[in-house]
Amino acid sequence: MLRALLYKEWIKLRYAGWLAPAAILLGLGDAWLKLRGVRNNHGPVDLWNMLLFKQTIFFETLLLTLPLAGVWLAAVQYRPECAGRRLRLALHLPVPHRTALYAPAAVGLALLTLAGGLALGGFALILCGYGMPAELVAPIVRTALPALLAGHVAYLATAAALADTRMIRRCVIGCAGLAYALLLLKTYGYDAMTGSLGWYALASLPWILPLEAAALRLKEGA
Amino acid sequence: MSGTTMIECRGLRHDYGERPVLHGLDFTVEEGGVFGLLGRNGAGKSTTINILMGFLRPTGGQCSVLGAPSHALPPAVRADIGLLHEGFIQYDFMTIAELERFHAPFYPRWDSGVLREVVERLDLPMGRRLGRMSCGQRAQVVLGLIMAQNPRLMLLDDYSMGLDVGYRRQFIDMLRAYVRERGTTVLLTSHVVQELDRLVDRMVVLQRGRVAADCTRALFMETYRRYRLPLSEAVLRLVPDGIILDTDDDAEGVTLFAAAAPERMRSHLASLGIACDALTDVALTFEDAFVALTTARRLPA
Repeated sequence: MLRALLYKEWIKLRYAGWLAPAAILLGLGDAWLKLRGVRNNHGPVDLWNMLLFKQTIFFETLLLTLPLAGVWLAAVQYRPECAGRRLRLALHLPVPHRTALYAPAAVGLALLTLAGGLALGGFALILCGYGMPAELVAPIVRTALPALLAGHVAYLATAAALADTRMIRRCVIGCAGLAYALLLLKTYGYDAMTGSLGWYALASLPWILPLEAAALRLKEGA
Repeated sequence: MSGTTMIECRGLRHDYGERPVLHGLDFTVEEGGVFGLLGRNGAGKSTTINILMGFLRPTGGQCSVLGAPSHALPPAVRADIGLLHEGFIQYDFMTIAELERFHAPFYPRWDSGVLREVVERLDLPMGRRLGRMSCGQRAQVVLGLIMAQNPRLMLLDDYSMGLDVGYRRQFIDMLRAYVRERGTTVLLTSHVVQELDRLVDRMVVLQRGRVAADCTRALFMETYRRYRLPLSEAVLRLVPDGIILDTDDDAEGVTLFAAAAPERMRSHLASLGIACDALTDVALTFEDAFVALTTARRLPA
């Protein structure tokens, strides 16, 4: 049965789902081009100066694509799942309700984590390619981790907003998700959130609840 | 019929905030045959079917489906129930073949042949996406998916929605043939009643959240009748009383809608002191009887 649930997610994601990793790849390409531009136009000293002393966030596009990928994946999976009260189909399947509800979320979050992980790996390789030492590469890459977390929050908020049946609640969930993701994206230097990232991750766990509540409301006819 | 109870509602109540919708419904659906849950708009049909489908928790009373409380059906029971959601809701981003591949593993008695027969009859390729079909084709494919589940009980919510008369009849014929062959129990609602007399064996008619009639179709047609009496002062004084459900007078006489076969009606009128020599029994179709009952001023006693 789990295979059947995964098969449904494959059908939903097989065409449009690729846009999310493609966008992350574009963000990665943008970071690479910016590094290349600084080195070619200003020289390696300016590049070092930018990274070591100014700690310029030159990979904003990459940071932004992670939550956008979360929104996109959730939309691709949950819009066809929830539009026109279709969530009722999933809730009537002869599997526990939570299995039917969270199988798409598990797939989407796993894909996002994989795409984000590969992007950060690629980012580290790009930085190493420019001869950066590991002591500099690691904090720069860690700077992108809150954005990956923001991607997960954006995914869950979008899924919950799509699953909900009332427009007002959709707006509230959407706005709260946006505020939370923006908070996670805000950074003034490299590795600024490393000490607190675990706490932020823990604080993000309740984002699963709006999805659960939306499904329960549909189930109970509220 | 084996007498196994498939659905049981006892004192079923529901309200939306301050507005009560169901006022203590009592009915049971036994195994086998087609059971109609009928009523006009706002009678409480949708609320009742939503409770039966497990998408609404009743505010009072009990409702069990295949022996389990309707609001907490375990997965094994859900595997025995085929649901047709209002508007033929289904994953319309999938093709027929994908829908079959997705659904089949959930249902141990899945019968591919039934679905393929429906698809062949419609002359559709298995690779056709559901979202690209007409409403009529979609309705039959969705019914085919439910029939392929081989469920013990089918709940069909407003199967006629959006279908023209031709597709409605095809749908009914397909369902009838399936029920006859497999003995599946079907509970259905529809806002179009004119074709239902070919389909339902037993029915509950709801009026303003109460059961107005709970009987077989044959008994319904036998019980609910329309009579004509010539005008007289005594006849004009007749009021709905539980046997006479409604009256309507015109220049030539009075029409009585009653829950009584002719003999009972005669004795009732006689007890009211009205001569019955000129009493005539006006033929009613199923739809006429349904409309008369659901618009009557009094419910049957």
